[in-house]
Amino acid sequence: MGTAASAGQQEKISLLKVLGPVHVWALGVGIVLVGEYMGWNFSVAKGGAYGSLIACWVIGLLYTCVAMIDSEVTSTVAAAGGQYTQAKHIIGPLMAFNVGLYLVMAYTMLEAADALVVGDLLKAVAQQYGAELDPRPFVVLTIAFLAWMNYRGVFMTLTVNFVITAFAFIAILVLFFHATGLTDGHSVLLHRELLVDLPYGWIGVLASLQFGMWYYLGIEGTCQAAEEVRSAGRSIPMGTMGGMMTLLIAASLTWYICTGIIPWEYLGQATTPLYDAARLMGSVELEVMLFIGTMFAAIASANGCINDASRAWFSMSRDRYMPHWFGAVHPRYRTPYRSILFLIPIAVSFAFTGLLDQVITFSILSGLLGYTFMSFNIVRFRRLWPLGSIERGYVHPYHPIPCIVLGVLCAATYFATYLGYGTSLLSIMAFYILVSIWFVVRRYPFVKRGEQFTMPWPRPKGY
Amino acid sequence: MDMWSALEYGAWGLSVVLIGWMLVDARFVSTTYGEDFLLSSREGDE
Repeated sequence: MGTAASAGQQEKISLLKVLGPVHVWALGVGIVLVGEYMGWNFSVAKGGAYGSLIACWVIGLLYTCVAMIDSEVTSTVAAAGGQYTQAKHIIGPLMAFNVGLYLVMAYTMLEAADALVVGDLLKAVAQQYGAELDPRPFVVLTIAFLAWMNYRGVFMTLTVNFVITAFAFIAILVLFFHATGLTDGHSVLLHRELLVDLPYGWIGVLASLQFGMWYYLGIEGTCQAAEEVRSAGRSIPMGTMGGMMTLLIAASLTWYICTGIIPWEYLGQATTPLYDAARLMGSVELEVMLFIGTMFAAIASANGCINDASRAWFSMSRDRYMPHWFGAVHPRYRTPYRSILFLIPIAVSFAFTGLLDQVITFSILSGLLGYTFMSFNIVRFRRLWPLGSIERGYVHPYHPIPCIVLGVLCAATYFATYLGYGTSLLSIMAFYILVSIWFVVRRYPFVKRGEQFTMPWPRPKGY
Repeated sequence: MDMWSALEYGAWGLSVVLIGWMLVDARFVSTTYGEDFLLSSREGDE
């Protein structure tokens, strides 16, 4: 229990280091893969099929930069909190508070949206049998069950996530093999007939970048596991980069299948495009498989979000950026149990607003703010701890090109978001400015400044 | 009561059981262990 207590020393407790690269992959891909099952297709409505493909690859480049930068920094910061902890060490307290809040808001809202999806899918099943089903109890049950699993241990939580995420990914592969005729020699894809030029020109392509984020949103969550992996220097880069490769494949295949079966005017408005594609192929087995895949993808995403949001909240509380009480570790299960419990009513509240669009937009914007932070965080990290001054499990290549590319693509995505959700963008900026003022005036006096830096890092260059 | 209503009640019930179990366990942990111990985790600890 806890770390060994020798005579004369206070007994201490810590999170359990039991995870490997597979769990990191399951955490990252698990959060994201639901974006392949739904959400990405709104980029088709903005920019047409080709516009969506451009968004898929351009935003793929953005997230590849995120994955590379995150892998390098996190391979040195073996602590829960991910980007929050990075910001605390590299930039400063106010940035850390904001980044921590971006993470908690982004993951809790995504969790709520995922639970809403599970409820809506069950409601759709009931409607097929001519019955009316209230989705709310199933939304609450999804959140409660996943929180319970997270409460009882990270190993089982992410092992389950690996199984259901792998199923959801394999379902996409199976659909691809059937659609292209690799199984029976008969392709059902009609790209030549269905693909058209850019319907709204290049401004449509730019606007589609916002929804292109759905293909990969959340892969950066892998670094929340840094304190619970057996080897952060090995597992985080392997899990994150492996996850990114999986997502690039899944995103490209999803686009290829759906745009070859569903006309872009319909695809841009579909709720569950992959499931719809399976239904149009007329195979009951495929339809059932893709329905289960959709359900599993939403559950895996909510599960990973609970894991990540609770670790971010736990880390902030441990440093007293939030009430210290939430920084407790369960003595048996070795999980941040109070943070997990606290976030249940928050997620249920977001889900019960029923404002799926707004909840998702807030989640995406919080994520985007986090990526913007990463672009200048890595520059400062390399300056304060140059190569060779600190042990890195992974060194990302071609620095500073990835951080410049990341900054430019974030700026383009802000503009794209402004085109469609300008009010939301300004509202979220105002929200974070207000809470920053609260933090500086009311909360920071409670922070014990010396106690928040316990990582065995060398002194930064110039200090 | 049809099957769908039963499922709804079942989902509500199971949710209450799961959340209740966590609350009871959290209360038990708080009364069994000292706060200094529960809050003793530090980043970078092995």
